[in-house]
Parts: sequence; structure tokens; C-alpha cells
Amino acid sequence: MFSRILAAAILILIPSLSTLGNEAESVMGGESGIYQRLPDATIHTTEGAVALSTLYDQSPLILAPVFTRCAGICSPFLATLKGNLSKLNAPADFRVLVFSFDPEDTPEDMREMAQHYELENDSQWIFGTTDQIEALTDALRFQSKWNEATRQFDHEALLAGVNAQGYIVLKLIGMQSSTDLGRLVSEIRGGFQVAFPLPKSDTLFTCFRWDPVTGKARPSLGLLIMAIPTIGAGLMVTGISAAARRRRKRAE
Amino acid sequence: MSPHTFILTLFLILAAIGAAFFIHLYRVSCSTEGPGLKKVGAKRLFTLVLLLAVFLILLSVTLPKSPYYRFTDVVPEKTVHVTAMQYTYMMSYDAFKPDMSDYKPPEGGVITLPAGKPVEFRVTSADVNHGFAIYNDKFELVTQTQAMPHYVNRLRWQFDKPGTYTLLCLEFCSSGHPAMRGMFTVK
Amino acid sequence: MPTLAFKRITSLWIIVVLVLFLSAISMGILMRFAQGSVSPMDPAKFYVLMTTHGVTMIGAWAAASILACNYLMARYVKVSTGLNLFALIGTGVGVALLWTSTFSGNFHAGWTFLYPLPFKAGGGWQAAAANQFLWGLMLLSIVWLIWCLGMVWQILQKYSLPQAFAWQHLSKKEPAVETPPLILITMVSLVGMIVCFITAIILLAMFFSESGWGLSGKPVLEAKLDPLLMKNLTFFFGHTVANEALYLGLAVVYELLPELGGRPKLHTSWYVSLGWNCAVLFILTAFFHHLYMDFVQPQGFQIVGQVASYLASVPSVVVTLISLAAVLYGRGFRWSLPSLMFLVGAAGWIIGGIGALIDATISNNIILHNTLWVPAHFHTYNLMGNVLFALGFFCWVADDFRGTVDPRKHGLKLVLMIIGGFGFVLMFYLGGAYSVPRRFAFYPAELTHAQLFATMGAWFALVYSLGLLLVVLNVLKKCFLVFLPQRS
Repeated sequence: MFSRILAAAILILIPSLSTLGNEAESVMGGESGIYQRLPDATIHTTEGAVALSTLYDQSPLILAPVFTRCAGICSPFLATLKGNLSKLNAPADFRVLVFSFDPEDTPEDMREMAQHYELENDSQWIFGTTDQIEALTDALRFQSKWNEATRQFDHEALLAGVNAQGYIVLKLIGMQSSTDLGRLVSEIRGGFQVAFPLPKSDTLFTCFRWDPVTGKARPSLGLLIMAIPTIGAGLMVTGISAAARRRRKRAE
Repeated sequence: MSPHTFILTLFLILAAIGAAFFIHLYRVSCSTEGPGLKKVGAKRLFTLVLLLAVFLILLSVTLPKSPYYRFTDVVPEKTVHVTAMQYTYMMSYDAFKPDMSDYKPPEGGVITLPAGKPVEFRVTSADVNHGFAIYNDKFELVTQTQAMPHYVNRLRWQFDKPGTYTLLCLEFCSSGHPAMRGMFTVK
Repeated sequence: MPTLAFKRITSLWIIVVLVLFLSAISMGILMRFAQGSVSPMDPAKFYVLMTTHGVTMIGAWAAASILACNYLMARYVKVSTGLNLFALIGTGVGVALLWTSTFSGNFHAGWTFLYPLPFKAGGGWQAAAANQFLWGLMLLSIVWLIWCLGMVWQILQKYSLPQAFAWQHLSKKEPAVETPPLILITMVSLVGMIVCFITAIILLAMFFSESGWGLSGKPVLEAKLDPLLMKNLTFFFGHTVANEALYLGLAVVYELLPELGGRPKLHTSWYVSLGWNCAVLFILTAFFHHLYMDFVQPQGFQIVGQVASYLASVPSVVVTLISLAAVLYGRGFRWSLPSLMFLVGAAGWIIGGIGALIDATISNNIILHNTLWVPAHFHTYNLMGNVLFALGFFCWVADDFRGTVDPRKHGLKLVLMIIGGFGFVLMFYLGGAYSVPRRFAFYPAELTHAQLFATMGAWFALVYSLGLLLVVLNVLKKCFLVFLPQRS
């Protein structure tokens, strides 16, 4: 009897679990721009102008497009990035270029942003603007849209890895785990990850629809689903055993 | 000896040893008088240790040759983006979307790769699971990966012999499966 | 001891299995002739046959193994006629759903129905046919899950849980209760089967979450589930069910072989217990070897796949081979057709296992994956392994129904099956080694050798079928006799 109830419970559980997996729907082209060379845009910081090619000649880069007025994802996104980078403990032979894709942002705005994260004196981080926003975001195939109602950009959270030759080698879209970031860092330093998932269609976050779980929960959910049969079989057999023991005792 | 012949030979030898063991068992079982199997425990231990040792050697020799660990420290000379779909392969040097809106066919219509240099295929699928198997001009399978929707598999390889290579699908993808083909050249 | 009703239900099951087997084997021969261009076939029709052949064979022989173990279990525990009747009726409805979905609905996504293929037919079949197929499998999974749980219940009526797994044999002390090898192997395999069927139910439920739960199905426009997770689940189910069926077949061999040859029963010792308890653990992770060429699968799983594939063979091979040798060695063993089938079956199982291990090595898999090497090895340990275990049981039980024994060897029939069977799989191995893809309805003109292998394979299969038919007719006749009024 116990096992029947368990079986029923599992049957009821399955549809609700599997609908969680529906989030996995994805768009193709997330790897768009991979192995393309970046345009040699000029980056403006409060300390002056520098060519992008000068930067990547010196060391590989992680590019992170943001805008300072962002009321939502940019802030947790940068905080997560900072936290995960320190967690990674990787050698600091690469730099993070946080650049604004909002024409209204000034180098001063970006410096304040850096200050906010206590990164203005960290040589691994560069905060700046560019006068070639369109060329750069096009090369990165970065998706953003101005939303008049909210006075905000709806945009994806993108990290683009650029190797020392100026080629985009890997893109991560959405909030990243430190494992994902590890992949990115390894790849820009010349490492090789044999495969990667395409980004999902729901990664075009509006700043108000941000769900930090999305993108990270799916693999663990998958593992959970794969563990259910073994756990379920164990429970069913134990249940039957308990019922059989009771019956044996009654018979005695 | 090609890897294909090697694998077949290895199998046939091992299968023959297996068959010989069973024929031997049958023959001794038919003899009317016999001592029976002596020292069962020792034989069992010997078989176990032998098998484990063989497996350990095989694992240490073969695992590093797995495709995930090969060509990892090279920068590929060329990258080919591949989207498999029922029942063809779309290939380009540039990444493209599945609706083909930004698909740029290679110059001359044929993907051409350099001989003797590492290259990379980034393989995905627009619909169902497909295979991406590369056959040489003698129609021997050289290497392969799977094309799975939502994911990109990166297959790195170095083609030493110039010539025409054929792609066949090695994952059943409905009735057009055996007709699904692609090709590229190596110069 | 089995009652008359239990003999009758067993007999009915055997008739059903053999009829399904004969029809599925004919489909196989037709497919090989089509691949050899002897009788070319429209690809859609070919794949309808392929899908039906696969699902029928895997189901028929899994059922046969479960059934055989249940019949022999009657020597130790109380068995249930009703449960087997329930399973037979459920199976009948399930098979009817499956066969109509393929033959009448034209569904042909293969028996592994890899997501999202059932929903991306490209006009090949309607959404209703896909859902009907999936429901057929769902029904079978639920019915067989209950069947297996019922058998576990039967075992646990007499043995406690640790006793059923023979854990009391692990210490070298003489245990108070002895667990026969049949009960031990049946128990561990049933647990594996239960895992399989729960996996299948989850997998199918996920399909339905996308296509709708109705039998008619709705047209599906967008893929929503994760293809990698679905592929893992598919092979977790598919690979494991095939392996557990084999293990159940071996349980029959442990039980019957010594007795058929006039030898004392095999006893469970600490190594038999340890070996089979380990086997059930390893086999649950070996399925990862189906995804070697999906580079996106985490690499830890890939390595686990190869290590587990190797290790899964250790306990069963060491324990079984040494046990076989101990039974047979130099003792004037009395051979008859069933025991010879067990011996040849064990050889087929080992040889198929060698083929499997070669393919389960990642660096070989890159040139073997989804070539004919795959059907080569699984046909070796199914057609020349599990089928012979079950068939040997059928031959024995058909006499056991009437309490008689057929001491003859029927050498010619067996020789036909050996030549035909091993010749048939050799053609697969040759094709696989030389890069012929599996599941091609016709071969590209460049693969000239593929057609020759296919035609030869079909002829060998006909030789096998001839031997098989002679055996099967005899068994069927005896099975029908059980339904005549019995003299007490």
C-alpha cells in the first residue's frame, strides 16, 4: 500500500517538475560573433582615452556592457561578477572592462560606479565609456532595447571573453555562477572547453524580471530528476519490505 | 594498420579466446571421469586481479586519448560553424542564426580547410539530434561529434591528407536520415 | 510448486513472447534485405519496421526474463497467477497501442524516440501517432513497474530485505537462512528494473508535459525541454532495461544449469553475493557511455561511463564464469538442448560484452559510435545471449509443465542457430569496424561493402530462423497442450 501511495505521489510530482524545465527554451545565435575580431574602439576613462587594441594586446579581457542608471540587473550583475572573481582566485593576468552602452553616461559616471563597488583603485578593473557604442555592441551581438515606459534599457546580462589577439572566444549570457566564470577565464587565457550551452530566450532580462535562479537551477534540477528513479526505487522497496515484515509478524 | 582494422582484429582475437574457453568447458564437461575444478578460490582471485589490472592499464592508456582532451592547447587555424537540420548541414566561417537570416555561405560555396593545421567545428542543431561524422575519401570514419539542439559541441581535428571529406548523420533523425549529407575540402 | 493456473498463464506468456519474437525477427530480416538492395524499401516504411522491431524485441525479452524468474521463484516463494495475468493483459493493450501507432499511424522515431524527434516528424506522422506510441510505452512501464513490485513483494514475504540481497552471506560464517542465487539475482535485477520503469515514467511524463496528456496529442510548435537531460533519461531507461533483462536471464542459468546436467545446486557464497550487489550499482551508471559523443555532457560523467562500463563486467563475469566452470568441469555433465542453449548463451553474452567494452572505450567510440558496431554487440548478447537463456528456459519449462524431461540435444537445430546467429552478428561487426552507419534505410553508393554485409547478414538470419522455428514449433505445441483438460 505504501508503495502505491509513493508511486502516486511521484506521478503527481513529475508534471510539476517538468514544467520547471520549460524555461530551457533557447534561441540560437548566442555564439554569434564567436572568433570575430573586435573593432578597435576608443575607451574613455577619467584618466584619458585608450584604444581597445592596446588593452587586449596587454592582456585578455572580459567585457561587460552596463549603464549607470540601471535600476535592476546591472547592479547585482556587477556585484556577482566581483564576488565570483575573487572566489575564483585566478591569477590577475586578465582584466575586466566594464563599459557603458548608454550614450548619456560619462567617464565620470563610470568612475562613480567603480567607486560604488570599491573597484576604482583595482588595476584589474577598467570602467569607461566609448564613442563607438554601436560598433562595439554590434560586434558583441549584444541585445538591448530602450523602454520608454520604464525609462530603462531592457537588456541581457552579457560577459564576453576576448583573447589577447582581440577575438571574442566565449560569451556568457545571464547571471553567472563562478563555474561559468571559470570557463570564461580559462578560455580567454587559451584554455579549451569542449562544449557549451546556447543562451536561453528568456535571458533577455528586463530589469524588473530578473530571476537569479534562472540558468543556474537547470542543471541541478536535471540531476535531481535523474536521481528520482533510484531514490524512488529505494523507497518503494523499503516500503514493501516494511509492509511484508508487518504481515509476516501478524502471521506468526 | 588502420584503427578500424585494429579494432576488428582485437575483437576477433578476444572473441576467439572467449569461444575457445567455452568449447574447452564443453569438452571437459563431457569426459566421464575427471577431478572437477580444483582451487576454485585461487582461480577466482587470479581472474579478478588479472581483469582489474587489464582494465586499469586500458583506462590509463585510453582515457587521455578521449576527444575532450585532444588539441586543447592549440589555437585553431579556422573555425567552422555548423547547424545540422533535417536533412542537411549549414556551414559557415561565421556564426549564424537558425532562421538563416544572417547566414553567409562560404566563398565558392564549399568550406575549405587547411591541411596539417588544427581546425574547429562548432556543431549544433536547429531541430532534432543529429550526428556530425566526418568520412575521408575512402569512406572511413575519421572523427565525429553529435549535433544537439540548445548546445554547441566543439570538435577539434587536424586533417593531414588533402582531399574531399563527406559528412554523414550518425543519429537517427527520421526518414531522410540516410540521405543527410554534407562535405568540405581540405587543401 | 507452480499450480496448473500458474502453468497456464506462463504458457500463455510464452506463446505471446514467441509470436512477437517471430514477427519482429521477420521485420529484421526484411530490413537487412532492404539495406542490401535485394528488396529496397521506402525509408519511412523501413523506419516503421525498425521502430516496431526495436520496441518489440526489447519488450518481449525483458518480459520473458521476468516471467522465467517468476516461474522458478515458485520453488522458494509464493507466486501469483493474477499478477502475471494482469501484466499480460496490460502488455497486450500496450503492444496494441505501439503497433497501431507505428503500422497505422506511421510513427517511426525509433524505439529510443530521442527528444524532440517524436514532435518533429516533418510530416512523417501525426501528433496523435506520437502520443499513442508514448502512451503505449507509458502503459507498459506502469504495468511492468507493478509487475516487478509485485515480485519483490512475493520475495519479501519469505526473505527479509537484507536476506533478499544475500547480505548474510557476506560474512564467512554459515548463515541461518540461505538465499538461493536465483532469489539474489532476481532481487537485484528487479530493483534495477524498477529504477528503469520509474525513469521511463518520468521521461514519458516530461514528453506529455510538452505534447499534452491526451491520447490524441496536440501539434507541438516549440521545443521546450532540455535535450541533454532527455537523452540521459532515455538511455538510463533503455540501456538499463536491456542489461537487467540479461541479468534475469543469468538467474535462470544459475538455477537450472546444474540441475539439468545432474549436478548439485549452486549455492550463494560471499563472492556471489558481493559480485551481484556490486553489479547492480555499476550498471546504473554505465549508461553514460551512450553520450560520449555529446561533448556537452559533463566530463566527469564521461569518465564514470567508461570506468563503470568496465567495472560492471567484473563481478558478473568473474562470478558467473567461475561458477559455470565449477559446475561443468570434468564431471560427466548430461547435456540436453536447454543446457546447451545456456552454454552457448553464456558464450554469446561474453563475446557481446567484449564488443561492448571495446565500444565503451571513449577513444574507440569516436569511430564506432552509432555505426553497425552498436547493433553488432547488442545483437550478440541479446540474440545469442538473452534469447538463448529464455529459449532454453522455454524448452525446459514446456516439458516441466507435464513433469517430463527431454534428454535429447537437438544438435542440428542448435548448430543452425549458432552458425546463423554468429554469422549474422559478424556481418554487423564487419560493417561497424568499417564505418557503416547504423539505422540507414539504404547505403550511400560509396559504401559498397555495406550492401554485401547486409545481404549476407539477412541470409545468416534466415539460417538462424530455420533452427529457431524448429525449436519454437516444438515448444508452442507443448505450451498449447497445457490448456487441454489435465489428467490428475
